[in-house]
Parts: sequence; structure tokens; C-alpha cells
Amino acid sequence: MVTWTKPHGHSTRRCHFGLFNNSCKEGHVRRPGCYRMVVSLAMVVTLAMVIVAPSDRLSADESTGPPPLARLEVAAGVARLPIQIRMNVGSEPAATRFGRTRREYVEQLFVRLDRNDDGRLSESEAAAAPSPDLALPGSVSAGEADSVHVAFNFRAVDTSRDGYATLEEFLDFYSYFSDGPFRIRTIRVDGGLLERLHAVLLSALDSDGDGAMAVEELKAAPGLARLDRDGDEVLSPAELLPDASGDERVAVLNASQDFRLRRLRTADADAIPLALFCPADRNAREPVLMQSGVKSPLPSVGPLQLTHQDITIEVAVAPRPLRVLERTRRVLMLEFDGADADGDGQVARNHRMADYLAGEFERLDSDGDGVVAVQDVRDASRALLLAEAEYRAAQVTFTLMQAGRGLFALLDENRDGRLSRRELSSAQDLMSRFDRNGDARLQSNEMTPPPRLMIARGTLQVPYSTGSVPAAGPAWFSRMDRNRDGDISRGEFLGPTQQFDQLDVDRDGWIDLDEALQVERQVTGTTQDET
Amino acid sequence: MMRGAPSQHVSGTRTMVNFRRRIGVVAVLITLAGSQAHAADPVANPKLTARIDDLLEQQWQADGIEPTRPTSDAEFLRRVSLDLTGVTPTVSAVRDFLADTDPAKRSKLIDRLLDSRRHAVHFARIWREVMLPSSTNEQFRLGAAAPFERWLEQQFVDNRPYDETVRELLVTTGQVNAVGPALFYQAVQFKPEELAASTSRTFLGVQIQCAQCHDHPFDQWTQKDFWGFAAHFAQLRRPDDVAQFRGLVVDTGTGEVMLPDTDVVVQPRLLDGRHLDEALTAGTRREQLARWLASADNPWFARATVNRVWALLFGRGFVDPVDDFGQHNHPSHPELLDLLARDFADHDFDMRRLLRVLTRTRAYQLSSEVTYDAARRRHAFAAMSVKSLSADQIYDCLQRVTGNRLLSSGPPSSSDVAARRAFLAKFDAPTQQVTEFQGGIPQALAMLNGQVVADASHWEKSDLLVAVTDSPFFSNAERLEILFLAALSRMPTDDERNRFEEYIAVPGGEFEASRRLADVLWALINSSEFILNH
Repeated sequence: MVTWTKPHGHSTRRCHFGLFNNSCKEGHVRRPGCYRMVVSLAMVVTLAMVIVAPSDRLSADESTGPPPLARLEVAAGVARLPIQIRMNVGSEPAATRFGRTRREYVEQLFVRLDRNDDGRLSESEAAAAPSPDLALPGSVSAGEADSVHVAFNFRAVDTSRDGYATLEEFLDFYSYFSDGPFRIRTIRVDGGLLERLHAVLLSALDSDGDGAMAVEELKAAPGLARLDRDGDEVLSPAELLPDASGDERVAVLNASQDFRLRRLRTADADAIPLALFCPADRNAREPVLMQSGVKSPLPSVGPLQLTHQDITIEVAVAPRPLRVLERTRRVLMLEFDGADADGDGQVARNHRMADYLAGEFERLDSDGDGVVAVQDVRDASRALLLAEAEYRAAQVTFTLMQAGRGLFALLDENRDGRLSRRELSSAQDLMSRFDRNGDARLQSNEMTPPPRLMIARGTLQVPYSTGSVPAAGPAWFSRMDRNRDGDISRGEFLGPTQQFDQLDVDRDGWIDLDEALQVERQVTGTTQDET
Repeated sequence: MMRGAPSQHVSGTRTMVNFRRRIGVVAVLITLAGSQAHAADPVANPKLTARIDDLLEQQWQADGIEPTRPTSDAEFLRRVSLDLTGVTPTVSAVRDFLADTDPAKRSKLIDRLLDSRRHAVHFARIWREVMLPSSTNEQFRLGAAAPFERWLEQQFVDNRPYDETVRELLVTTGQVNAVGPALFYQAVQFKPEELAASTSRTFLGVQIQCAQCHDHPFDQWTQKDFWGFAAHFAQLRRPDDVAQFRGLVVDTGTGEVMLPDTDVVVQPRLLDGRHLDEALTAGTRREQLARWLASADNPWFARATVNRVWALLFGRGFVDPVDDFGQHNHPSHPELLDLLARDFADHDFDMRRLLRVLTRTRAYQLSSEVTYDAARRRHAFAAMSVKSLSADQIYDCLQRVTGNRLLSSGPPSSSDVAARRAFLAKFDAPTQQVTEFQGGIPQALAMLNGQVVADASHWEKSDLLVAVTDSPFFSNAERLEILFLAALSRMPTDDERNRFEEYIAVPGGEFEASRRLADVLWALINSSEFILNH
């Protein structure tokens, strides 16, 4: 049985697929209050065909196809939850795609750097090679795949020591030092801080002082907005705790041994099979996440609950930013225009404005004539950037986010360590989700939201964009959302009120990602990047 | 991988290049545009507001002065937002206010602003500067006085009667690092004479420190007045008593002050020459002082406070400078000053009420646009003074314009705090007179070419610009409108619309248009209209 809920808990668009597949081990997926329905395999397939675009249909050999992209394990104390993940982009397995796109990108890079066209790179030619996001072999197997940045070192490339790097050496260098097709990381929470936040919220909301939350008390949560000191419509820990320092954050990056996501080196018979299908077709809709042979049409946002032994986790696919390649190309073009101060369509290396293309000049000047012309920029923009974008998009990051416990953890639906207006106003919905003993009270032992496993495909990072995690959706949406809470509020919206009303299709007072994607679909006919 | 922010010097050069393009835009900027006049609220005009208006109007008639036109809604919104919350309104707030047809919308806006947390944050900054001036320690402006500001902020959040706040400051005890108001003492190393000077200047508006070494040359104060006042702080434990001090503000019950170069001990004595009666003598010396100083019986306290608040809103006090009351410096409007002081004391020193009353007056809602007789009309409060923004206000307004978002993980990171500090340090210009523009060459350059402004008007770094140019549902006219609303809190005039739309609509497509929009925003930020509260 697979249950999907849209994050924020605000939405009424909740969908229960009471599908139970014979191959699914009992206990893998459990949801309180949910019914279980045993259906025949035929019915599953029929349903899958109805709800999934034909190109995404399950193929017969999926269970016996290429090896899984990743075997992972969530470890929490002594309990463990093994998962085996397969992933396709279009019809191509993710790992295959990763190898192919990386090769294509590095080949292109090689050709551009080889300015004298002798089929090999001298040390000076190779010097302009980008320092890739290097991950030292070994750092991944340690469990945390946060990249280690290492300077480009020609001697590490030129393994034959003949003073030149061949294409094969260049490829080897990148494949040896770069991350593989998937990366994993764990984000823990500061339990002490959550406890203090819980105490503050409880004292503000628990009007009858019984230490538990009733629906009426949860309904008062929007009133907490009065504590919003900087007026950004989200409550940070510093705003809730008068004595907290500005740098105190809920999320902490260092993972401990007793809570983390780690790789499994060998197959585990108990592993829960998960599959992610990303349509390669730009006009197709969202990626599809499925568990145990059951496909769901539900979108990239929305957690799926998995339970094994004593652990329950949610799995969700992170929505991606849109038109990243287009924006990156645009930045490159505007940068060139800025450097081309006299407007003659070219920038010479010895011109003072060439500094402005610092670090990019050699790669742009592929014919090595010391001048970057507008055509060079267009070529790079068309070929190299596209290759890089595809390579980035073929990499997948799995992030396990601990939720912690207490009222703050419960309210912070999107796990960004702050409470948004939407999260506060949908506080009352928490009752139906977490009141496990059905006493119409949320006791503190029920305030334990599950950890969330976010699956995110990589992306180019648009130069100058801020934040380590690219925000979802089109740029106008993520950049108008000033407080980064995932919605554009009336106060954030820049246009006239009537325009807001048109965009806020469900009239809930926020323009959310779905609504932003609707605009994109109407205007550009797509909600997918070409990668 | 075509990326990486350009290095500092490179981006500076680039900005110079863009400058050429932009300077043409500046030239056509029409500043201080304000058209459709809007009458002040007919409703919710309490008696005191009406009385203030009457007194001023009588004076104008007697002096033959003609007041300027009332402010437009947009002018009023920007002015009152800057005065009460320290920052310009958001684009949506401007739109909402302009579209609102409620005749009482100005009063409602004032109430809303006064109730906002931003008001408390802004007033805490202002009052911190009054109580702990950056001239004594420039680090105060840059965050060293954060606990003090937090304490003040809470006072304004609770709208605590101002006399209570001042009394708490005057009698506070405890660890300097733990207790916000204790910094007031540490700032002057617990010296009685310094505390006497700052206390009298800050809360009573009188400069008795001139009488420290001799009787005041042209005011009533004698040397004994000064040291009699300083004697109230003589029994604080001093940091030079290293063994005992331990960073505590505490009254020891012993200690006296003496006239300089003599052995004459001066007993505590109040500035109005009154002797302490029994009710006043109970408790420590500081408690005795606090009871007298922050009370309705004190002839200076309420007057000095309302004068300061008036100056904050109108650019100049009845007594000017605000901390120089005395026989040598008579108030310009004595009757009005007395009226306000009496009312302030009669209403529990309610700061929010005072601000509400003053911002509702006709005088506050007059335009600053004067074409003749400017100085005379401004001194008579028949035209609003143009006030310069504080460094904090400029920074916050720039943040608002750029649409800079906070980092998704919540509170500002240390690097954000550092960026703010660097900007404030550059704009460090101790301002006594808000009507004098303090910006010199470094400030002007920071606005023209500085990193903060360069980022604010960068076609990819600015959230505002990306949001505006990437939105498929905005026309160029709407985009232009948004930039005006964000930077100047008003719609463009017809003339501005024509000129700027023409500037944006050049061949070259979307790319060129978005760069030109960035140029327009840069020009708006560098207009005098942006950097002044008018």
C-alpha cells in the first residue's frame, strides 16, 4: 500500500493508493489509519497503465534489468531500513546515462582546451580545465559524499608522465576523482534546540496546560506570526527564542554513527525496492516514484512512507529548478556583453575587460587566437553548457533529513528549520496525521515526524545564484518568493492584486509551485528542462 | 563551467562601464514627483491633533505663511513608513495603500505600522543611538550594543511607558554582559561626571556638562549643580576597584564626589534646586534620582522627550538642537511644546500615542515640495523638512529594493551580518541634524559603484530584477512600474513612463531589455529621491 501526501499538509489533494502488491513484503509500507487492499497483479498493471504516460510504462525486464543505481540503508540506532533504488531517465538507466554524459562533457572540454588541435593537452592548455567537484575516492565510501574540493593538478592527469594529457588520461582523471552517479548525505537536527523550541511553542499554544495539543489549540498557531520580528513572514528559531543567537540553526551537517544514510555494498534480500522514472520528454509531466512495482502518477513533491523494523521514513523527489540551462546561457552572454565594452563583438585576451571573463576565457577561446568572439560564446553556450547540464542532471543526490521531535519539528513540514505562514495555518491538519492513539490530542510522544529521504537530480548552478540548494520551479517563482518558504504570498507578489488572483488558481492565498508550473506550461508548453 | 563571481576589482570596472549607460538615465530622472494631493483624514482626528493643527495654523496666519500642499498617498506612505519603521514599504504594500479607498486609511496605516515589530526594531536603533551614541564608541552602531537594543526593542514592543523605561535604565543592576541597560554605565566607565552629562543631555535635554569646571557661561547652571547631579552616580562600584568590580552594576552605599581640585564634597542635588523630601530620599541615590527624573513633576523630562520625538518626525525640534534647552535657546513654539509635554505626561508617557497623534497632524502630512520661502516655511512647520536617511535605513531600503531574501536556513548568517556592518561602517556619519545630508565622497562612491548597490542592480544577483524580467506575465510597462514601486514607493509619472519605456524598448530583444531594466533600477537607487525621506 502506498500513500502519498503533498508536503505542507495544507493540501486537500491527498491520494491513497490502496494497492498492495504481492511482491511487497508485509510491513514495508505502513500508514496508521489506512486500509489495506489486496489486488491482483493484473489490476495493478491496469491501473498503472491508466495513470502513467505510455512511455513510462513498466517494462517486463525491469526487475531483472541492469543492477540498481544504489543500495542504501537508513540506520537509526540499532534499527535499519535497507532500500534498493533503480532509476531511469527516459529509457536509459541513470548510471549508464551518468557515464555517457560525463564522457561527452569531458570530451567536449578536451577539444576546447586543445587549442592547437594536436589531440593532446599540454600543461598550459590543461591549466584552464575546470577544477571539477572532486570527491576523493574513499570519501564517498565513508558514508558522506560531500565533495572535497581539490585544485587541478596536471601531474595527476598526466599519468604517463610524458608531459601531455591524452583524452583517455583526461577522462580517467575525471572519473577517478569525481563523484559517481549518486551521492548521499545526512542532515541531522540539533535536538537541544528543538527541545527549547518545543517548550516555547507549547507555552504559547497549550492553553489548557496539559502538555498536549488539541485541535483548538493548533488552530491558534497562525497567531504566532506576531513574533515575526523582521517581517519576512517566516519564524526563525531566533525569533521564537529571545535569547537565541542569530546563527543557531535547526539543521546540523555532521552526521553521527547512530543516525545516517549509508551505502550497502551487497544486495540485501530485505531491501525495499524503489524505482524512480524521470521522463526524458520535455513535455511530459513530473517524475514518477514507485515502490514494489506500483507506479504512481503523483508528482515530484509528496512523500511516500516506508516502514521496516522500527523505522518509518518518508521518501520524496525534490522538484527541480526550471530553465536553468537557458538562464546560464543568458548569464554567459550578458557577461560577454559586459566585457565587450566597445561593442565590437569580440574581447581580446590582453584587453583590460578580459579579466571579466576570468577563468572562462581559455575555454571560450577554443581556436586559441587570443580573441573571444561572440560566435565563440554562442558555440560554448550551445555545446559545452548543454553537455555539462546533461552530465550534472545525470547525478542523483540522496539526502536523509532527520526531523527530530517536538512541536517545532511537527510544524516544520518542509524541514527548512523555520515556520512559514502556511505551516502555521495548516497546523490543525497535523491531528489527523499524527494522533496515533486517536484521543484527539497530540501527546509529546506522538510529535515524532519521520525522517525524510529526498531524492534530487543534479543541475547546473546558475552563476551568481544564491543558496546551496537550487530552488524549485522557474526563476521568477523562486526569486519572487523572498523568504524561500516555497510559496509566493500576497505580500511578496510584485504585480497587481488581480494578477495574483489569476495565478492563485486554488484561491488559498499563495501561489505555490504547482501554480507556477501551470504558468510555465501555458507559456512554454513545458515543465521540464531539456536535461 | 562558466561561473564564479567576478573578483571585486573586476566588478568595479564593469560598473564603471555600465555607468556610462546609466548616467543618461539619471539625467532624466525627475525627483520628488508627487501629484494628486490627498486631504488628511477627516476622521479619527483626536482632539489633541486638532489642537496642534489649530496652534500651527494660527501661527502661520499671524506670520503670513502659506503651508504647502498635502502629501499624496504615495508620499505619505513612504514618509511614515521610514519614520515609524525605518524602511520603505514593499511593492505590494504600496499597491494596496494606493488602491485603498477608505478615507481613514492613513490613520489605519499609522496604527498598523506602530503595532509592527519593525517599529520596535527601528525605534530601538534610534533610542540606542540617543542613549549610547556611536560618537562615544563606534562599535555601538555595529552591533556591540545588541543586548541594549534588544532590551529597548522589548520596551517598544510592550509600549512600556517611557518614564518606566528610563527609570529601569537609571536603577538597573547586574552583570554588564547579561543585562541590556547596564551597557549605559559601562559605556562611560561608570564615571559619575560622564553619567551626569549623558543623563541630563539625553533625558532632560540640558547641557550641564559645561558647568563641570566652572559655572555655565550663559545658562543658569553652576558647578555645584553639575556635581550635585553627578553625586547621584557616586556610589556605583567602579571598575578601577579591580578586586570588587566583577563587571557588575551595583550600588555600594558609599562614595562621594568633590568639586575638582578641592576637598569640597557635594551632596546630591536635583537640577530644579528642590531638596529631596522624604518620599524621594528612600533607596539608593540612583533610585532617588530616577524617581525625580522620570516623572511628571520634572519640568524637563516630558518636554525634552516630546521635543526629540517631534524633531524625529519633522526634522527639527521646537528647541534646536534637541539637547540644548535653556534660557539661551528658546523654543520656537512654546505653547505647542507645553501642550504636548503636558499631554505626554498625562497619558503615562505613552510613546505610541504621541507618535500616533503627531503623524496624524496636518503639518506632518504636508508636502516637502517648496518652491519659495523654503527655510521660513520649514521652520514654521508649514512645509515638511527633507530628512536624510540613516545608514541603517539606507541599508534596509537597499535590501528591500533588491528583494534580497534571507537564506533559507533562517537567521542571517554571520556573512550577512558582516556585509551589513561593512556598509554601515562606510556610512558612519554621526548625525545630529537629520536635515543635513551627511554623505560625502566615500558615501557617494559607495552608492554609485559599491558592491551593495552593484549587486542590488545586477541583472542576475538581484532577486527583484530576476523576478521581474523572468515573469512571463508582466509587460515592460508593468516591469517599469514595479521598479518604481520598489525603489521610490510610487508609480512613475506619465513623463517617466514615456521616457523609460522608450529606453527599455530598444531592439536587441529580451537580453538587452533586461540589462536596461537593471540600468533603470540603478538610476532610481542613485536618485536623491531614494536616499532622502521627503
